[in-house]
Amino acid sequence: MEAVLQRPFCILLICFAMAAPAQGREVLLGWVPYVNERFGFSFRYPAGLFELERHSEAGDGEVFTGLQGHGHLLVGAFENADGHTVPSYMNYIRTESYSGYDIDYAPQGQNWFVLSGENDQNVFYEKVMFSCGGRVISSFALIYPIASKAMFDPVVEGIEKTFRPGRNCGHYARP
Amino acid sequence: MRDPELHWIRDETVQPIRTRAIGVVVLAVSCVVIGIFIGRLTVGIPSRGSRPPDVVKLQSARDPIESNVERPSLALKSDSEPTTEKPATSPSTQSQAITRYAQSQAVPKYNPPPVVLLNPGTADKNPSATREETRARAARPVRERSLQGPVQNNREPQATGDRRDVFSRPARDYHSLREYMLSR
Repeated sequence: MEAVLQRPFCILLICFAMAAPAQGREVLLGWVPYVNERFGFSFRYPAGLFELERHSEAGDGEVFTGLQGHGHLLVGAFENADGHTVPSYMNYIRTESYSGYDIDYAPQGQNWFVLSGENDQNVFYEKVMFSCGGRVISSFALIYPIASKAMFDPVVEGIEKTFRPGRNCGHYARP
Repeated sequence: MRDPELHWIRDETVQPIRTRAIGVVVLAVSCVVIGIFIGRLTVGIPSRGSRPPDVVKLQSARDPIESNVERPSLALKSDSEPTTEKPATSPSTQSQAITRYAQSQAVPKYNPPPVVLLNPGTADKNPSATREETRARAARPVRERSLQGPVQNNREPQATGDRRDVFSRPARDYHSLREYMLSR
């Protein structure tokens, strides 16, 4: 019986030992949570890598910049007053914001989409999520030099995994 | 080649004790390891419904603006009072002069903020106002203070390209921020 019980414990120990380096990396970059007070969207970002550069008076977004000036992170949300759908907003920012980029990654779901691409200097990655029945659009966008891909790609991955739109829709909830 | 007649027979008196001991040890070690990792994982998780404090702490810890909050008043005092370097009680000897010279060379000189130079007597004329301002600053959220730091240090932005200038002028809304970021 004990022998049967020992095996899961050993597996558990190995799993934790393997998890330790990942946790160490996170500690090294100082990943911290961010929650937007107005719209409630949240994510985790490496505070050891980014510092706050500019915020909006309306409290709906912020721009972070890399410590050496490389890489910019924009996070924000706004009310979908124009009644955008996922495809329409995707096309809108593709033409309005990233016309100078070659888009090479553009998956989309029912209430989200991702756009990513690069030009001769920079890479961008933007994830957009519709929430509150489509009344609120939350997004984050990272733009960073191609030369710094090795550093920023894991950051994109980390933010992408933790980015969540606000749950409390308040007056943005569809009647 | 195994002997077909050779069989392992369980020692009923020893085996249960040893296996139980191993099991207990493994269980204890597992519990300790699980406890440590759960602790490490939950260190950064904020309490529900509140803004994460460690975000603020990390930024304020790195932000030199935060550490300079009290500097103006200190600098103003230094204007009206003699410098901290007191005159020697005895006539200065050559060695003291050398030491002083070495100290002045080794320690970087502190440059007071421009506001001190422009308005040297303002804070001393109304010290209670300064205290009120400091108190009000302390009451504000740390993040807000870090954003308004340059305004407190200097009423006029030093350079248009300076990042502190950017801090002092927040964008109107998300769309303005977006334009700002994409234009960079």
